[in-house]
Amino acid sequence: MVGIPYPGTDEIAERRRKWLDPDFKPKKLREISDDDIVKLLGHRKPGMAYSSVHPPLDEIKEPPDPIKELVEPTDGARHGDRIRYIQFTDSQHFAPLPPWLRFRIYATNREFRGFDSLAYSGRTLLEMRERDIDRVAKTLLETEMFDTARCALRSITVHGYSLRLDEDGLMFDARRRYIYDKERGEVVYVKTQQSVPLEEPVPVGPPLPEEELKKMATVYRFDHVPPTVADELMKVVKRIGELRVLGGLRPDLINGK
Amino acid sequence: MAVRHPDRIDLHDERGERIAEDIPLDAISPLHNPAIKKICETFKRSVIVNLRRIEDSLRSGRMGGEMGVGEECQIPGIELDLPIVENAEKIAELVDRYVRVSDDDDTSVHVLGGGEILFVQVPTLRMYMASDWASATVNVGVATAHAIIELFNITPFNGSNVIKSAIFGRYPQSITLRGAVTGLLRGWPPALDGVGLAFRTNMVNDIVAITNKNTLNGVALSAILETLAMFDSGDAIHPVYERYHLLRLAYQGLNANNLVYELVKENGKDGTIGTVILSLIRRAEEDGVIKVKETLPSGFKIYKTDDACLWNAYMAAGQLAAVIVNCGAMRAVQGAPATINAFNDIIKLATGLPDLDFGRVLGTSIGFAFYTHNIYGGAGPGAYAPAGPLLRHSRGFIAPCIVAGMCMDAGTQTFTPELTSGVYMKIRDVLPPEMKQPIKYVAEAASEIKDKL
Repeated sequence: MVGIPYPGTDEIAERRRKWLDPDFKPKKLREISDDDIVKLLGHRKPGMAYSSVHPPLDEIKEPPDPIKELVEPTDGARHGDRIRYIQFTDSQHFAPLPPWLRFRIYATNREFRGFDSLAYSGRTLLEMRERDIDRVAKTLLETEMFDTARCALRSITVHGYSLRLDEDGLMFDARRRYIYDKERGEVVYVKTQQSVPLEEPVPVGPPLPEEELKKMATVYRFDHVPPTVADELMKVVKRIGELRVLGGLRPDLINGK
Repeated sequence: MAVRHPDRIDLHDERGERIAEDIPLDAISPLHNPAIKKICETFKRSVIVNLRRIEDSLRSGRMGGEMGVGEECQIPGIELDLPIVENAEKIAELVDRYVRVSDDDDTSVHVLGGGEILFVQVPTLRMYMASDWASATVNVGVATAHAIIELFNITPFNGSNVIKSAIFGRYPQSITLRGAVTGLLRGWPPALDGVGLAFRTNMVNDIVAITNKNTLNGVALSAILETLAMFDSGDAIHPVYERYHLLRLAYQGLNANNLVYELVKENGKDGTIGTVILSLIRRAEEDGVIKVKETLPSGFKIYKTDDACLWNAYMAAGQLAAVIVNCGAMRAVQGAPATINAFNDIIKLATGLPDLDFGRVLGTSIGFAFYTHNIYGGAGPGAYAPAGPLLRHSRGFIAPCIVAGMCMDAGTQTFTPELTSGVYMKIRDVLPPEMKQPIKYVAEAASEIKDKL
């Protein structure tokens, strides 16, 4: 057993299985400089030192605790970094990942160990120690987890995931954090995720073509891979629902089923 | 004929070493295990009196407030300047005399923190004769009032009317108890909106403080309190449910068969919630707890179990290990609700079996994650008590995991154990060892009684 088991024979299930492998490394699609990522996150200026919430772990005297010694702290935790966030809104129009799958990837992939997340109302939050957030932000923005038109960095005013795309194919953003630069043919962020105007725009690359996004899709849709083909998934979900109700009355009622 | 369960378990300590072998499950039951009985009885008959707070309230005339922080009520003209902290030993002597039933009973009164705290255990006989656990708090509170009145010659003409308010706050005009006296068990019957909740009224940070941030002992104490609450509230009354809760206590709370320790050891270095789930499924399959029922065309295996209570206990242990691995990597508790959420969300679809407590833990964790974050953020996870409306629906499965997360926290929280539960740190020294190291003492007690059951 390598990845997390997931039922289904169709391409959507196949991709979900791929994403839920703890060792999966997503394909890199674009290059965004480290400084530009720091600017987009808006937590500190590029080159500024990391602020800390407590002293480095080596300097803290904690009572002995054998089980704590079994767990390796992340780099950010070791330095006592403040906890920072990155938050995404993923459009329901063929964004590579729906919010719940993004959450499950955070919980599964080794790159995201030491995370805190919450998927709610069209947004998925990720909180980690600042050094760790800076590291994973590269993966989150440069790889196939992100499309520049259908995914967006939004810490506030997240509304828009279920709205129609605009004339350039971009997801609606009431804060207008990003624009489509027609000359360059790429999406350019003019504000940070908190919607604070950037001194210089940050280009994040061209949107992926619709056909490409359909090949990457991880949700069932009646206009693409319909949920009616997900026989195995439906069977498993129905089974779980039935056993939850039965076992919820008295656990032994599901024995042998 | 009384209910007995066939299961036998080994108990391992926080270092993963076996400390009790071939223990019948009944030997860790609150109804039989002497160490758990001692913990139960200590919680019920112990009372904390904050003498510093009484002195300050009387000196400033600030008392009877209803806010969580500070006092909004101040009545000029009622001030009393009494050296209460300075005379703590004398007050302790008087309180001892008033609450004691016989010379050789188990009454104990300790003066702690340079006279600022009085820690009183009323005799067991008083609790036996009481209608509920608040009797200890009321008796000690009134005893303290009488001691102050007697010691400083207070009368109705020079201020006895405010002594009650300094000790009991606005009660009984309000239903809450926000004065200087509190039971070790924080619950106060008029303010609880349900029966069987009292053992769940201590916040997570109280447990962390009592066990000095030792993760597995904190988990054990929390799991014991949750189990006591299940027996108290009628949730453990059917033989199946009794076993359900005892197995949870064993595997999640007391590191039975070293399951939690081994899962953490296997995944601590570079593991995630996902890898803990994979380790757990493999271990459960090896132990025969789950079996493949059907392999679907994609190769996906639908599992079945012949023992849902045991698989549930395995998942409870796995969930705890996942929290230790994730929050331990982050050295921060805030990811604990998300970990619980993700663990259950993923494991049900990975096995085709219901998740922990048949979905109740997943449901509870979503609300808990929401209210510990976001625009509704109420407080840090450590400041919640399992009896709260958010957590009470999970019957014992969440609180120990939050305790573990809080023990792993290196100092990221606003609501630290030092802030919310400082008094529990001060009284820790005089608490019985069963409460500070429950894993060891419950195992020893189980070994002693295992042949008598």
